[in-house]
Amino acid sequence: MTATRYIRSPEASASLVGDRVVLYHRVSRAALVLNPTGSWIWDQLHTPHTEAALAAGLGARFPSVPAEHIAHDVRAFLDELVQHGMVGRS
Amino acid sequence: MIANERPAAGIATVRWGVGPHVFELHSPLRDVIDRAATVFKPWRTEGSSAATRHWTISPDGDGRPDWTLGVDGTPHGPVSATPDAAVRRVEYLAVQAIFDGPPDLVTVHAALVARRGRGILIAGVPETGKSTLACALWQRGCSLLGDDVAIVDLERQTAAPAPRRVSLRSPSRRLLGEALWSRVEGAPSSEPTNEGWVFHPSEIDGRAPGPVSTSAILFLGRTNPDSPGGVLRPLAPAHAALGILPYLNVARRVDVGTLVPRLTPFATAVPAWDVTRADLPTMCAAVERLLEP
Repeated sequence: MTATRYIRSPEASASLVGDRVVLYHRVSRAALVLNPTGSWIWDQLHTPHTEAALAAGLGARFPSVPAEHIAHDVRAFLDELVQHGMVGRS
Repeated sequence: MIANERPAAGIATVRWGVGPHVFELHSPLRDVIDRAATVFKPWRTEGSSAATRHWTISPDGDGRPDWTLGVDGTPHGPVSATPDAAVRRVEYLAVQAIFDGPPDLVTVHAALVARRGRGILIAGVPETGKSTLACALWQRGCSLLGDDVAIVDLERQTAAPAPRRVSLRSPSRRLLGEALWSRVEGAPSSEPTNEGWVFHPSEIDGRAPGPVSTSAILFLGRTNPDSPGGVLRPLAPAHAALGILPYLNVARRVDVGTLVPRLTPFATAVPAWDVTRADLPTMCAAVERLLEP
């Protein structure tokens, strides 16, 4: 079974403002401000990524944070992006 | 084009404007012209280019008590037959024209105060106290440039007051004190309204209402006073950019996805703060620290 991959939705418009990304959904008109870590994940999602790959990348950036915490946060973040239509699953 | 027609003989004109907007008021009524010349004095302009909008105020030809207001040569309706009320109506319509005008002129629904050329925009939904805070800062020596609408240059990070008088509600009387309040009432452009007075602060303190650099944006009424943190709570530029959107004229017509990148240089360069409600001297002292060189 292939792991789910995530990628940016074509309906999402992104602007980097300071150290945060502002996302705007052109259809729902919802706006989200991502924190710097979320902004890093968004940056990765210009190509399809699995949850595990994103968590591994974050783990390398924050080696002192337990892996299970990172995995939990990545999953919650991706779920929120999916819920707002900012990313799609494939 | 009607806007290019010259006024008929016996009709005088007052011309004023801001940015690309050039306004004219034509009237055969001397008192109306004199009143308009006083009210729009800080924004008077010269020149012969066509006005972007012009109004006429004239007596009703049918002998009715109201005067007739025309906009760009088209009857707009009756207006109370007093110079104060008629000019106040045009003053409102001129700012509305800026608000509804081309999106190259950005307005923000905010009070504007300044000290030594450094300005602070105070944004907040109605009844959050932005006029009260602006008024208190004026009383403590800041320039009070506007209490309602400011024109913002997003690229240069400057702000200027919209061409209208400041409106003070009657409860501000206690805040300002009787001596200052009596000067407000006695200034040339001052007049009473249902809620208080409108006036030009420049007629009181002698400071011209020109553009200032924007040193900070303050948001009122967004934080819970009981939550931990000081009076001023810094906002990341991204939150400031989204926070100011509801107060911009262009947000009604331009897609947010287009507007945010345009706001980015401004939101990145100008620090923004949430202001937690506290007693007025504490709030003023915190804001004044932002105006220190």
